[in-house]
Amino acid sequence: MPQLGDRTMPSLTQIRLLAAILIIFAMILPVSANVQKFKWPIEKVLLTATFGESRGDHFHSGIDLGGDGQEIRPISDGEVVYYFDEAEHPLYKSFGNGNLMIIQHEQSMRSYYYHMKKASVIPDKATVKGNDIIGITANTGRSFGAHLHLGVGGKKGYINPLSILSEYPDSIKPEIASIMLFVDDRAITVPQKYRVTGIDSFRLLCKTWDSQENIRKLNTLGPAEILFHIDDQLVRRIHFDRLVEKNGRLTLSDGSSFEDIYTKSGFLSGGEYRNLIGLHRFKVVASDFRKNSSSKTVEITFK
Amino acid sequence: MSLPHERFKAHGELSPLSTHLFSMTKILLVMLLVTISTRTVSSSGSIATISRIETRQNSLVRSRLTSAADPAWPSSAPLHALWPDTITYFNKNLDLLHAARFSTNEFFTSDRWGYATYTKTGNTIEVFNTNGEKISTHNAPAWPRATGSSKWLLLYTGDQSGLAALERASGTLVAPYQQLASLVTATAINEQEQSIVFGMVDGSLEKFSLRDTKTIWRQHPPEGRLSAIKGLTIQSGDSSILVVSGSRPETFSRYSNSGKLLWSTPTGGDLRTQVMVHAGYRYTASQTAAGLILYDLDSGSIVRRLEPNLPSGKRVTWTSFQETKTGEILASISSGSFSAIYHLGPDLAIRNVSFVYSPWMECTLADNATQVVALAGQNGIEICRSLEIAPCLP
Repeated sequence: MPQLGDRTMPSLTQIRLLAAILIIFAMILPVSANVQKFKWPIEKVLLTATFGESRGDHFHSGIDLGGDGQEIRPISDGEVVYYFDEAEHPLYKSFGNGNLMIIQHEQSMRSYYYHMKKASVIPDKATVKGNDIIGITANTGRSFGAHLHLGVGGKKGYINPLSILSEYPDSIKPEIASIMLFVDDRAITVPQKYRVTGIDSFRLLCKTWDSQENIRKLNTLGPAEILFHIDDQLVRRIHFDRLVEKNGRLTLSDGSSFEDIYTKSGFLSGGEYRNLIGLHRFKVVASDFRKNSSSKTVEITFK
Repeated sequence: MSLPHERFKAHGELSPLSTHLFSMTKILLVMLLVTISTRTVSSSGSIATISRIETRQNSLVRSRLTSAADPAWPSSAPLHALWPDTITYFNKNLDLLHAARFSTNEFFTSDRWGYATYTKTGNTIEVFNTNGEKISTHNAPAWPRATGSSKWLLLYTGDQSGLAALERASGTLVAPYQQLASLVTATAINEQEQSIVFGMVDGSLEKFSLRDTKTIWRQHPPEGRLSAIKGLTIQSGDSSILVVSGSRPETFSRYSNSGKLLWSTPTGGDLRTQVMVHAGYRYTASQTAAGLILYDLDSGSIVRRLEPNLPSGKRVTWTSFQETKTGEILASISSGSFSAIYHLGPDLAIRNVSFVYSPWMECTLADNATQVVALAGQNGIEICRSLEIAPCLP
């Protein structure tokens, strides 16, 4: 007859089984945590532009990966929704996006591949697997050097591709070059302590850029987040996490338009202020996607 | 739908060498057809052909086979021809009005009313008329594609860079660049209404007024459908808009004034990108990977498939479609280095089909009353007396 203790006390075999299950679970867990991570589309990754940067009159809707002649693979399995290869069209040249492909993945997610080499894009099937080559990096369309533009999003709008790709090494902090006041169509670079008179209203600006180990000398990357503080109070947060459609245009997720965020010269805007009197502390904090951050503070006395 | 070379593979009866030999045989057969076609034309060329311009080693050789006093002489002008790096315009006597040649870093788009240029590193679009006179210059964030009509020039480019419209004669920007959240993939102009329709890669379709630059209506695809507008046109008479959409394509028609669906017809599981959609009087035609599908404009029912099985084994890349008011049809289908030209009677029976060695062939009705036909391809332009004897290419 079975004893009560037999049922409450696990046998050695049961303990081993439980341990094995726990070990297997522990091994699976990191994989599960990474299940949303997608593959980089090219092998030698050189990040040359980030999500949300200024492109003159609109936000950069993806990331740029530099390099010529690299094989491009989809970030995941999917279905080709659209492609354009000028090699197929005897009387058309590629336009701004160059030779391109758009692939639809699960849950209505789409990935966008631009500026690919002529005659490298034409697919021979409607569905693509992760290991299929879908094109070669090149310099077609509105492009000033061979690179792949990678966009990720839904049918409308985009997310920062870095949020779904496996991690990319970056230990270098963004650099805040200057904090500026934009007054009467003129940007005034503010020294650490500054006294001004006769300024009733101004737009607070900053000039910042980011670097990464592989591209440090070029300093061309944009930060992922910028915080503007006045007297230790957060007055503006710019977060380049996604671009969403608003009235037919793409804005940041908080509804900020391109013109709200960037000046014509490409400086980042911390908002417009008026009637400030006396001493005020202006602080800008810039962070990259890997949370490396730096800050700069200036003091301005308004008379 | 499988491509011709895939069908051979699927049977599993041909070795790669046999397949290669078979393809070579096909090409030789087509070359033979071209030769026969040329001979046929030669025997009746003086009757069929009004005039001809041929390209020979980057020069144009013009021959007039009948006089301009001939009642069948084309009345529409100018004529427009394209080569990969050159645009040419001719008057109705086939005198050269203007020719412009471009380098690899210069982009251009053209139609019979003029052309526009852009340099890869520049920021401006320059618009020219058929005489090569510059009409206007505009700032543009990126090189756009263009759609033209006699009055308007519509420029559209990648995601967010937007869409703009110019009045062609004055160069006035009637609709300044408006940014869009998605990639514009197809456009059409309704000249009577002064409106445009454009489709995007997200599958949405929008009608936009050039009078007040406001959206008239916008239609989104059903949720969950894999959609991307591939091509569209406005039907003659401006009553409906014809669209090809989806990665598993369908052709549908919407009322122009409301955007409501008139009919929808699946065209088969095929992968296509730039797609020509052609509207006529009774029929419409849309390009597929294999050729052209003709639909009844009222019901959307498929009335004819033109699938010439060209020897390149590649997808069709260029089509043109011309329907006369008497119901005759002239259509071209191009793939690889070859084009097929069809002449269909009012009963849609094929009266003639010919193959030419040209990667594109544009068939236009130069004069509707006399049915004079202009055929423009890589080898030149041919003006033919009527549909009956077209094509009459050299």
